[in-house]
Amino acid sequence: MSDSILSVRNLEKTYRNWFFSKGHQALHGVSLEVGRGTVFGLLGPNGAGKTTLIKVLLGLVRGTEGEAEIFGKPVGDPAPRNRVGYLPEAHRLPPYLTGWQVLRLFGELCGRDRAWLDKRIPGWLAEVGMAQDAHRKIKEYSKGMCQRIGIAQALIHEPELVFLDEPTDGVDPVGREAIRRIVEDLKQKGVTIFINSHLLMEVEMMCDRVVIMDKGSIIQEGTMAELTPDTGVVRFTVSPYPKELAQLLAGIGSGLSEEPPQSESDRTGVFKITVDGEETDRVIDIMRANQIGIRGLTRGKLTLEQSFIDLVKKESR
Amino acid sequence: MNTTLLRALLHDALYQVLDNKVFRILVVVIGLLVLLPLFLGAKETGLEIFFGIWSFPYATFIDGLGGMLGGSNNALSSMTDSELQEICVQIYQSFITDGLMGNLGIFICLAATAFFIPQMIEKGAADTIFSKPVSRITLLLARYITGVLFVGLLSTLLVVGTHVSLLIGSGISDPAFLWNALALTYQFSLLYAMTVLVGVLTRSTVASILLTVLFLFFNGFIHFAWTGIQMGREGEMEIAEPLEETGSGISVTVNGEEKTKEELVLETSEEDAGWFISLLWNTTQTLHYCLPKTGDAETIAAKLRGSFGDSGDSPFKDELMAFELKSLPPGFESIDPAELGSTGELFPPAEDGTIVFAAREANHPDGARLLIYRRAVVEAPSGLSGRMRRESTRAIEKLFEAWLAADESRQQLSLDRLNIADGTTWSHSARDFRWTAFRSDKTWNVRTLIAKDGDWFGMLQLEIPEGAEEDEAVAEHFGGRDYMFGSGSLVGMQAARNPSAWYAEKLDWTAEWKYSIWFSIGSSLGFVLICLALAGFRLSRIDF
Repeated sequence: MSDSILSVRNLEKTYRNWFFSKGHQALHGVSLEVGRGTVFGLLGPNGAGKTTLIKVLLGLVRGTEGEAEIFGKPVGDPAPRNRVGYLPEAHRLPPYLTGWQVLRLFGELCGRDRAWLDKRIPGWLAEVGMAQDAHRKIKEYSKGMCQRIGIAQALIHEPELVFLDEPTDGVDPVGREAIRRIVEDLKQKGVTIFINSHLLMEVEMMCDRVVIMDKGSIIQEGTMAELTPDTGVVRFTVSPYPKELAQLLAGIGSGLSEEPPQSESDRTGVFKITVDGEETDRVIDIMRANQIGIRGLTRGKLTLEQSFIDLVKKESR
Repeated sequence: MNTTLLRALLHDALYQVLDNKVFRILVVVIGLLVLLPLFLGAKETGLEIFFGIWSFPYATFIDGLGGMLGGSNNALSSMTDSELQEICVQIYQSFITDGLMGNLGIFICLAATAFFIPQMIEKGAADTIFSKPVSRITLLLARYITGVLFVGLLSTLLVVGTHVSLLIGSGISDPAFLWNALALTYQFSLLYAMTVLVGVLTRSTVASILLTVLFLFFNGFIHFAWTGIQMGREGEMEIAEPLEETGSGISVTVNGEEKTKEELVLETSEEDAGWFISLLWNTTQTLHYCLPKTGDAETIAAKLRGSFGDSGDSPFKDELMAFELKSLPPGFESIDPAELGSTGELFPPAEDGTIVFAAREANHPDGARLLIYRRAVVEAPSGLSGRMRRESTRAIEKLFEAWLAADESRQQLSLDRLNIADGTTWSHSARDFRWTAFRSDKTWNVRTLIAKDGDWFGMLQLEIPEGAEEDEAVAEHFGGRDYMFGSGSLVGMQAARNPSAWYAEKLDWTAEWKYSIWFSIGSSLGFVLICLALAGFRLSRIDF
């Protein structure tokens, strides 16, 4: 990838408690290339190695084997990290600082000067809904408030690569919506974002690409469309429900299943049939020709959750 | 490190310190201690409470404390009010910096700052901070500086506040006292390096505190042991005949055979020390040289005060002998020793000693006169042992008696062994000879005080021609002890001979390397650097 900002090749990590202990291998030869402006979902069951991978990329953990680079420089070099933002899972911000001071401190640690930061801090505080509590100390914040300030600190220096580990953890629905909006804005600005979350619905909503890890390896990587493929099953809600449906659709598609109305008074019913695009048109034509109204039509897609569960189960077999 | 980063880390340090509850409590406690001398002022006339609403002359206290103080009471009683005022101020200063902040305060500050490192590297906090483009060693140093800043601010507040408060409350300004703020911060900075190292290794606040306190005791024990042994080693040589005079010093003759000091030390060491003792001594010695000399901070501050805080109003002060003449006897004026003409009779003879100060009665050029002269205990450079030096004190006493007896024109009247008050201690012993000399056509009543400090004998001699005793002021001083000893005219003789005092006396800017303040500071800072380097190395290897 020509505009790769993150590159990992055969990365391995083994945690050892003692020098001679065998230890636990958290990463097994992970390789990954990431281009600009992508929102990545990093998924995997507990202990899959997601957080370890992120920590290696941020220099928090040293890889045992392999190579990892950010912006073309080895991850051990702290210099490129001024272009990286990170919201750790279960982070702990300095309790003696106020929200404003936290943003200023972390912005300054990333090399931004005070005047530059003071112009942007109010905007970020408003963005995460913390403008009113900006001058209260962190130790007085609730978990959700800490999470909001945590997100702001990860983004205050306008990074080009952002790692968000469970970004919506402890955040209320309004806050989650704000976070989704922030992610969308960053994506529009060309920022590459890694989202590590167990809330697959949110990942599905925010991410373009997904990496699924299990037991320290990447078991699947692809776009959201690739990971949530069309099942071919189309669900029709029709009224009045035809009594001779099977006859009407004879020779079209396969796997017809019916859910007729439960009572005489209820005329609306549902049926599902596996059809391709052309056959779908024929089914519609037949319904309309027989004076049957189509009240709903849904093409069946595999959910990310189902896809994820299937993959992980398959992997563990 | 760029200025933005430096400023950010310093601000972070400051916020962390100011938010600390223990720090705030200490600020309040310090505030009270600082205010105390404002309301309890040591004035020239006595102690004044609430700006003179109540006042108590010093005599009232001395009388009240007389029984408790024992012999020291005599010394206090003979002091002037202004001297007592100065002592009050010194006691308060010493209580604040050495007693309170130097001991208890250091422990409290350790407990209050020990969590800085474990808190920074605990899960969650470490992820956030170490993912920033700043090296871990920089962040570690920032936390170390935070701890030192914590104590630096408190010490400065305490010492400057006390100084100002004493200045307002008692009218005494002692700017040299301000060195203590630096000394306290220095002392803490040595210990805190160990706290940082333990904090990184264990990631536990409790372990940091406990192990640092254990280290403090261990460190103190090692230095105490080294000092004691070193003092003993220097006193190991037997001196059979220390009285044989050669040149300007006293030679060392053992069993009739003249030996160099080095030979004596070597022989004694080889004879007495088994391999285990040697191992123990070498280990102690190595540890002493490598470990931080936290206890030296107080002495260094005192030396700094001595060097830089000299009020300059003493008519005579001699660092070599640790002699200080606080004031001239009434009616006396100091003169150039060269103006004396004949130096009279000095023991030892004048060519062996150096007259460093002379004074005489202003109205009677041929009347009473005061001489201070010094004489090397041994030839410099000295490697002579402590025991030998102690022997030398007795030896010079014998020699002096022999010298008096050798000439019929000299007649000894009395010999006293005295304790000299130097303002704060009362343990220095000296020899007080009273003798009569018949020179040419005059009879002189002479009083010679011989005391020894380190490598030098300090000698103070008052000579009064017969008849001059009728001068009441002179007679009073000559007859009683007040003149030279009790009234504080002669102060500053550092004579306590316990290992700590012995070491404090040896420690100096210009002393040989093992007693050099530069070595003390250098090796202590070296220890700090090693601790921080180890902590930095370990921190860089931690997977968060």
